[in-house]
Amino acid sequence: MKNKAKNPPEITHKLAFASTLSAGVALLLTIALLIVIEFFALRNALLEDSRIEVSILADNVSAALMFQDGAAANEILRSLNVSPDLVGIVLLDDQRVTLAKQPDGFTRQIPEVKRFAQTDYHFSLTRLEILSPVSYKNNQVGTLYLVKSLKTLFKRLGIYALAAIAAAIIALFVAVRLLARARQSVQLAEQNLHHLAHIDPVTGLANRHAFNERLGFAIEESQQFSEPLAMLLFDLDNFKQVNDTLGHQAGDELLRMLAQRIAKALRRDDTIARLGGDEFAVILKKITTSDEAGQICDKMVATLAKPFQIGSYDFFVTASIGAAFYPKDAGDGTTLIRNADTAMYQAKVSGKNTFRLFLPVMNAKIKQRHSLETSLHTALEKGELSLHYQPQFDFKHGSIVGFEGLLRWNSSIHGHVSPDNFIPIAEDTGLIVEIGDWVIKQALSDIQKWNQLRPVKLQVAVNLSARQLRDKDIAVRVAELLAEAAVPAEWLEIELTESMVMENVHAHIDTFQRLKIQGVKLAIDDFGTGYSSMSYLKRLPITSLKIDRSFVRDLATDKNDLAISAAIIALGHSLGLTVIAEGVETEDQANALFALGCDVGQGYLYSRPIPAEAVPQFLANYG
Amino acid sequence: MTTCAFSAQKAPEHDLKAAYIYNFIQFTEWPEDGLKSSTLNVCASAGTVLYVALQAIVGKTSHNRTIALKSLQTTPATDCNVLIAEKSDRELYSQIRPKIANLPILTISDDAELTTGDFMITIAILNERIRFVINSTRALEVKMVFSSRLLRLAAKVL
Repeated sequence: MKNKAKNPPEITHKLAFASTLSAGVALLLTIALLIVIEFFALRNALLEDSRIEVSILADNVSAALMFQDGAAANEILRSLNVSPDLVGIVLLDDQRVTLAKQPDGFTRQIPEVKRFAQTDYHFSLTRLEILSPVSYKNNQVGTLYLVKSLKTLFKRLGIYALAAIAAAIIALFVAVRLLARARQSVQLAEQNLHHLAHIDPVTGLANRHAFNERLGFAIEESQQFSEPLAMLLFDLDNFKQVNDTLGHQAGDELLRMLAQRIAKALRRDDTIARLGGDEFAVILKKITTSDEAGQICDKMVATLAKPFQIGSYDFFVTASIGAAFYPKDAGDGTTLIRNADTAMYQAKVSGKNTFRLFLPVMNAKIKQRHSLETSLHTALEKGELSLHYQPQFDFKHGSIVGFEGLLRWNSSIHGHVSPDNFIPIAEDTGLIVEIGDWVIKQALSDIQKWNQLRPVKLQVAVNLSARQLRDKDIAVRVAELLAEAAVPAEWLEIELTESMVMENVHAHIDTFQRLKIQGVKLAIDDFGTGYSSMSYLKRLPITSLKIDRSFVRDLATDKNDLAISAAIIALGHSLGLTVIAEGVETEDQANALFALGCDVGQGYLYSRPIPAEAVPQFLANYG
Repeated sequence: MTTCAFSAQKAPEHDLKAAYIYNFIQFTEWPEDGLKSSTLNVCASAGTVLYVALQAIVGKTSHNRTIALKSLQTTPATDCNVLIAEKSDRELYSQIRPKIANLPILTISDDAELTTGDFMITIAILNERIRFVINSTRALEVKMVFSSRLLRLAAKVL
């Protein structure tokens, strides 16, 4: 990972060096070319100037030459002495005899024009030589030979070159600075990209990618120092509701607060990451015992249980945590993550808001669950599902008032499967919608048959799952099913658990109203085990309360349970509701309930749940 | 082709003088209608050494004309374009002088004593070298002009 982080800057450095170098080479070439051009320009200028000088001289000196007046000729030639480049000048007559020269000491072999390759001038490394005819009235009367030094030319060229090089160095310096700045922004962008690739933008925590890297690193370290590590996987139990109710912004805010809380509960060396959605992962280093991990998980569950305040709302978020250990539970990162996931899943299945440490047996359970899930998909069409009915009796009159329909699955592969085992699977997979539909249909069809010959009509109660209740059109669907079966709405009672009703009262109150208007009865199941808001209870259009079987069980012996049951019955009656007791198994319980004024009882004392085929016989026996 | 009329110092004095005379002609500008004939007539006393030396410039061209040598004794002075007077010509010259006073004739004296303002160019030997004095004032009177190049070479300009 370190190497990966180092590589990009190296590349940019190399690139910067290469571009500086190529810019430098290009500048050097340009300078060289400019100097060459300047050299030829200067040389031409010198040649032109010298030609003009020498031709003016030739014109002036013609008379002196014709009169062979050396003194006058020298005087004329002397005028050229002001030229700093002058090496020497010689005046020859038409016999090539020297008449005059400047400076006095100048001696030089006068070349033939031919030597100049048919031109009147010749450049050597240090000198310019010019041969110019001296004419009068179109007759050549002699020749001027001029030699000029290139010293000044080279001096000028040198200054030019220095200036060009100085300009180039400044340009290169500026370019390097600009390049450095550009490189800096590229580096910044690279860092940003690296950041984006490794950081979750919502919480600022490491993302899945970074987590995998860190887990690999932690495992290497763990191997090196023989220090086991633990990995925790968090999944929020009800995050979707927050998002659905308050919007994604609030959801993001919740995730941020949550991340902070988890991070606070960790030690400095530990790592936390958001793997996506509402899934968080933690790496705990140097964890030696399961107890230690368990304590940390306990702490996590507790810290998350406190409400989160978002805007003016208090939110309760619970998490299911799975923990797995390296090297005890897994030999590599991938397996470790998978096992932590399995443990987390077990935590969810065991009622959420809790944690599970990974056990090898969990994988077997998972397999079992997968197998169940596969079978459940075809259970309906294979006719493996059926309804059993448990009768409900009126305490006062001892007469039967109705049945509660209970779903049974007799799988061809798994045999009888408990609803506790397959209902959660049906909920998770969404099969519950189809199954729930079938349950209502079947119950309505059965009650229709049984009520046909009865003067006093019975009612049938079915349980609605949380998933079904979330469906906004459930009230419409119930109405359709009632119409199809031609069953009066008041024959149907829908049971909802207390926690289901209270979890999201706002969202469901409308559904309850619409069911109530049709005439469908609504019962709150398992009453007393959840948290009911009395103000909502008053406003909800419910018709009955069902006392949970846990209060009924010890009714005859436990004063607390008696008190609770009494309170529930009093509360129900004061709200005008029918109170039903579940799990009535003994005469003592029945007597106590009757004494408390409970309206209806249901339990083994009267009858176990019986198959639909046995109901007519049962009714015949009880009248 | 040798255009210079002489070959350096080796030439005898009169040959040099003849060459000088040819050069003087070249550096002299006559007024527009000053040269009437098709030849440029140089008049000198026939029979002198200079006259013989002047033969060398006959046939050369200047001012688009061929140079012809005429005898001062037999030619009317008004036909001359160049008039050369030597010591032996003092008498003859005094006769001619009034006739040509207002004519554009280049008058050259080879006699240092005849310098007295009348001659436009006077040739003299100074320090064994041939030098000359130019009287450009006299020349201007008859609208003749000398090239500045010539004036620069003169020992003296009046």
